[in-house]
Amino acid sequence: MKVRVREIPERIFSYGVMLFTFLISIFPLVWVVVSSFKTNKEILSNPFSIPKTLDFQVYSDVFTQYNFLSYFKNSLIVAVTATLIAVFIYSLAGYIFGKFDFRGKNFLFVLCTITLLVPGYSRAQPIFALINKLGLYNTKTGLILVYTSFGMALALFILRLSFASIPRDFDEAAIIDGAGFWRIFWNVNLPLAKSGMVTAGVLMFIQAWNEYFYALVLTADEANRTLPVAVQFFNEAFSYNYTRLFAALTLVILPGIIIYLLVQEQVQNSVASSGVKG
Amino acid sequence: MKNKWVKLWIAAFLAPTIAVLCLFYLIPILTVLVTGFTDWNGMSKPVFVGFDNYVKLISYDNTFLISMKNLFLWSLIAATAHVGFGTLVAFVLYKKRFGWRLVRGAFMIPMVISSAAWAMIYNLIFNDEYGLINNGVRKLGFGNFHVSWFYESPAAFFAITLTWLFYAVYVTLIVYNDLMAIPKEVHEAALLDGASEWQVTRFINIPLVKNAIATGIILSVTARIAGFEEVALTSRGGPGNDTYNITLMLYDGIVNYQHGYANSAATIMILLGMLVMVIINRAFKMNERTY
Amino acid sequence: MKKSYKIASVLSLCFLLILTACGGNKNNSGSQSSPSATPSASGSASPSASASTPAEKVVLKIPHYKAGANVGAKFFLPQIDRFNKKYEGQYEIQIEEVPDDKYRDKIKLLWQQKKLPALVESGDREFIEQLIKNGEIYDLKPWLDTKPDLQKVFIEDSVKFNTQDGHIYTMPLAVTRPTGIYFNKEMFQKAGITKPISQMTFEEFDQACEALKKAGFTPLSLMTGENGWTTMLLGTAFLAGQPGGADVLKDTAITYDYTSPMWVSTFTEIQKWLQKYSSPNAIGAKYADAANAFLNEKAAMIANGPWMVGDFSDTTKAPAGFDQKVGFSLSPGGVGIDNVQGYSWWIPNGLSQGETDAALAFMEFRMTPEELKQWMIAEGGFAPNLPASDEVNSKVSPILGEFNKQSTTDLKVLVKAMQDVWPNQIGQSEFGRYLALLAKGSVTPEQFAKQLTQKAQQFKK
Repeated sequence: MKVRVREIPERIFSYGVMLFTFLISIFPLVWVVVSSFKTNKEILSNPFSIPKTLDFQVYSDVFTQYNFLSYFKNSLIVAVTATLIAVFIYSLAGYIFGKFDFRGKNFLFVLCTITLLVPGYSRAQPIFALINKLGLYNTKTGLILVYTSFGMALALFILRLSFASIPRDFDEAAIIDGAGFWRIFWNVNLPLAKSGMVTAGVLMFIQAWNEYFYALVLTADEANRTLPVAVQFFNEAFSYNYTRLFAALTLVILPGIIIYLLVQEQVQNSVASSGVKG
Repeated sequence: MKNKWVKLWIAAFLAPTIAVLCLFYLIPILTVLVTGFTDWNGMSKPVFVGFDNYVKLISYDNTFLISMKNLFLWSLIAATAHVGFGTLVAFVLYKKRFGWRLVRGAFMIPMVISSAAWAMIYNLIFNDEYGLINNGVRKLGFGNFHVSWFYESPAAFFAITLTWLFYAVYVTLIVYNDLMAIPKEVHEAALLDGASEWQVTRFINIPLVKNAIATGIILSVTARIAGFEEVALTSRGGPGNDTYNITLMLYDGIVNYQHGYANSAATIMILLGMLVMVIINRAFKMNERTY
Repeated sequence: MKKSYKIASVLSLCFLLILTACGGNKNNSGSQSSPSATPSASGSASPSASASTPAEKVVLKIPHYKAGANVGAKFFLPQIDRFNKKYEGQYEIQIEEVPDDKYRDKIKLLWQQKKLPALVESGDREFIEQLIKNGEIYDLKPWLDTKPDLQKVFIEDSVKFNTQDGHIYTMPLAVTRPTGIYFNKEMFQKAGITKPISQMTFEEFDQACEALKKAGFTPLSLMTGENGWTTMLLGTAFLAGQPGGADVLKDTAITYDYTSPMWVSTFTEIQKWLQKYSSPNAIGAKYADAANAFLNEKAAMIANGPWMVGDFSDTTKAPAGFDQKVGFSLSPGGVGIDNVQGYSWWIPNGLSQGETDAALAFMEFRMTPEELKQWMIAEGGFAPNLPASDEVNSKVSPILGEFNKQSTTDLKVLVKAMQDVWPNQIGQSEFGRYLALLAKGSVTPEQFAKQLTQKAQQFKK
């Protein structure tokens, strides 16, 4: 019993932190969604009020004005493809950085990771030139390439740590079994680095999903427009009508959250299983 | 003979990453570094001007000084409060109290929203007329509370800070990942020796996630150096140049056809980032295996 | 050791080639008809139709901001449809929507890649002047010389501005659309104001504001957010009445120094308006907020151009019947604000003959009397050299009709907006940024003038 009493302040504290974290993460979004069901007048007179009716008319209005489904599809294709390619190639490199030594390794790693410090805007012009030279202007492939490059530093950070924390005993056992380089990587190390890969993958997906600037400059027509770019049109389009503005924001935010909630299960499982492994 | 094959494999594994590095980073960065020393409007041929751009950038008026002051304060807040909060959440989640999955899931949600949408939401939240903050304060009895958050001093600085201060889920994820990787036996042995929970946290867990915390600090401080949206889409550096930062100076260069000037700002950003990396690496003695 | 690097670099090259190959394939299968997506060796946007196959239709893909929900789309898109219909089977223009404030950046980026669309509307001054210097803009003069009817409708000032060494690179304007002040007639009546704004002096304007305040209304819908548009327009009208002000505002040169008395007294006036005659949330207000305040009858006046007139009868934006309450007037002192000395539509060099012809056809189409009339009916303005404006006046919204009539009698001086004589950096960001400080009283008008001056000089060439 004594232990329990001693635990009480700690519990209050823990739950306090959890509640606070939950609220700051959810409340702004709940507010946006709730506001989308209120009239302009209700929004302006009392931001805390609860909508009187649940009217979805505004959503169908906004939906007919903009082709959200197509934007959603584009965002999804671009982000998923870029993430898959990126996780694969950075796993290859992360494996090397985590487990092998060669001259210039640290230099190369630092070179890769300081790229994090180069702001996207400053590289825009050379990258735009590159995409054009490859003939990829206004294609999803161009965007995929650019997004593949985005997560490099972060992915290498995470993946190097993941691979480094896999005991070398496994590799040595595999070598004795006569496994080649590729098999040691693919069959032994890769499964054990899954949690890191998922973490890196989720982060890269999110980055690609939300990227705005390059999506704006590298695509021309609506056929390749992604969701974040659509946001840019809202200020003009809905500025007089807060109900619509909130509804449009909801439509942009929601797919990302839904996808995340689906992947979330996967993230939790893999993180949990890596814990068992440890 | 065998060694040679390994080298080949290493090269093959690194190749795609090196290709990305060269195409999307090194060549663009080199362009940036070189043109930082030129007068270049982005259209005509660049003309070498030595350090002119740097002199102008740093000493033209107090904007650079203010940018550095803001960067310093924001970095400090990021390295302490921001990373501290993320780490705290990781430790709390690690206890797996009732509802921890829900909280972790929720904490991630702001990250899946694009910064363009997020800035718009925060503009709405801080709006004087119908925003949550001001109406909330007015509801609490301060009927005359009117602060145009992003447009007066010093409110703008704090309002911008609030748009990212608590959203430290990246740090939480990295630290949590490392916590999970600590072998169970270590804890069991410590608890058997009569260590209290606090002692386990203080003397075992914190040292073992040191690398993760350092990574978190690097990530969040560099995010401040390269941060653009949280300022450009809210206060735009105002009022006056109160919340200016170096990315805005870079942006000013671009919109005024002074790509050389812009790229000198970009160069300073890169140098600052490297400095941060070196300092944190030294301070935390990273790259040393802790167990 | 060195070997591994060599191998790595060889492999990365292979990787690159694969990427390139993939990209090429995707591109071929991905776009069938769009001419701008087809990469070409020369770099210029290669058309799907060339001069050798005249039977084929020329398709121009034009990025533009007057699309979607933009206020200008209401007229522009149907105009494109009419053009496409007239030249059916010969030319077709397709519009790609670009957000208003991203249009110029987009054009710049396209230019850097030599992928300029066949038709561009305006752009940053420095940009266009550089392009002219580089010889990258199509000279319209020889073509215009074959179209005397077209030349007749142009405004002389605009022709003068657009002519450089005998060449004409951007299309001169035929229509001027001065901005003025929209006012809420009901509020004016309740406050007992009878004198038309255009006949007031700024002292009388002040008294009118006081009267409105006494009657319980916020007199002015001002803003400090974005580029401070509505505030800037009202300030321009004041400056035009200051000694020397109109000359500065009529000059084609850019002004970099704002420390002279006329500027300082303008900034003083602006500070007074912001502090006394507008609501506290003007600080940080964006254009939409300012417009909203007027449309929802929370402010009595807003400075803006004729293109806003459609908003008053739009019930998603304003209460029903609001358009009945609105009047439109020139600014105090009979000031009209418009920039006819600006760059408008232009065509890049290096297009195929078919594309150039299509682009020219559109330039001409826009300037046909029928189209000009329709435009003025939709968005206001008047064409000094186009006969039969009465027809326009009878069809145009009564608000604009009145304004056009007033313009013929009360217009004392027509100037450019302050924004048009400032360098880009001041007009687009610094003015709004420092305006918040001016409104709060954190800086004096003198300090404000000094800071803007210093900022203006920073990027001066």
